[in-house]
Amino acid sequence: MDFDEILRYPRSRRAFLRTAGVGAAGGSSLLLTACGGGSATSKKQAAEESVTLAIRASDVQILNGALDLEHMAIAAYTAGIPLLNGRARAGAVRFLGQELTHAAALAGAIKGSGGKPNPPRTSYDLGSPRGQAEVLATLDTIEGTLIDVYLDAIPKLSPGWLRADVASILANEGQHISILRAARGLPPAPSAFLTPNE
Amino acid sequence: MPDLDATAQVAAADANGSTRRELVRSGLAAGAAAAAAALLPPLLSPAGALAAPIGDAAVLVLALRAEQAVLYAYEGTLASGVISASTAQVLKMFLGQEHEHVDALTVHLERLGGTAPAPPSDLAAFELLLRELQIKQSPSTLRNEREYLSFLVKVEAELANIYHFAIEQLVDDQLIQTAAQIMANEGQHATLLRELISPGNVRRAVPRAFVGGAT
Repeated sequence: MDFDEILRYPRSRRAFLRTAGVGAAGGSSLLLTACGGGSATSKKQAAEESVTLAIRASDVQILNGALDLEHMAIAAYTAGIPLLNGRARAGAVRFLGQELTHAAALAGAIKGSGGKPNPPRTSYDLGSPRGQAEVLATLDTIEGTLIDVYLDAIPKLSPGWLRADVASILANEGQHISILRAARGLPPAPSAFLTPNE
Repeated sequence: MPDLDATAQVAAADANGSTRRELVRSGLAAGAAAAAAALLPPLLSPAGALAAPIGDAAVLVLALRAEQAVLYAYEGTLASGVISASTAQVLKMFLGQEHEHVDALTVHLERLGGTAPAPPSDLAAFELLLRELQIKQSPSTLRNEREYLSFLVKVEAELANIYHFAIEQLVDDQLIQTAAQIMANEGQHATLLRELISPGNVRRAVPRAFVGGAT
């Protein structure tokens, strides 16, 4: 096992969540490999079945917990963007798009496993932030909560590839919080180990 | 070529303990020594997919080798003489965090009975490591701060890929969480390096909704 093997092999089977919103078979080349030969249709079918088996009910519950918070983050960015300007606004728009991608990916994975994705709530208590500084502080807090939830969730997820893809989302949230902290005049990456309270 | 000997050595140590489950799972539990010897190449199917986890210690060795490449890259950049004082301050902080990663991973590895691999001894060894990481650019071609920073972004991106793989493979919960925290920190480094290259361009700084494992 070496870097070359690592960097070649996972690319074909990575990105389950990245494509999960499009179809349940996404990222399941691991299973295609296990299936051996067969037509493209039967491979796809087998892959879909295997993916469904690979994600457990407990995983679905964890993913739904993360999805709940992603919905909250989407609501917070949506509500906060009109109160932002300049770079902060551009950043928040970018991050909103990425949170939507995360939510779609999580929902796709849940659906692909036969689960039911939690819908967004009709309203969220986001406090009453006034002005850019307070909105950024609120977004920072919500990103911190997301990080907390993902850090707790990742070791509990059963399939390794699902853990890895959820860690990809966690790392993106870490990037968000870095930019938000920089915009607030705080150190953007204060710890060598991402923590919820950065 | 890959340091398979070092990896196998660690795998042998690991096979006596925490990877027993993986060995059983992969049908290689007939004997720790035999399993360790057979552990690495047979795990790859003809299609290139892993048939079973490679063991936490072996994963840590891989992560440490990648971290050592990053350390060498940061140290070389700081010694290049083309980095401004303000950028150097940021890079020194990141270098310090990379050292923290190495320290933490080494502690975990030693608990598993393994030994951390030696860092690259010279530029040639570093370039070999880079090629293993699929980075074709030679650091000797870098001429200015922007090029050095772009190079560091590439190294950080490949490091995130290694952690993506590690998180998929690791079995120990604490190790998984630590690897996730480190991977996220590497993602932050990449973002802040891109911010140094193109200040205020958030599209460049945070280009994708997923970090690591990307093609």
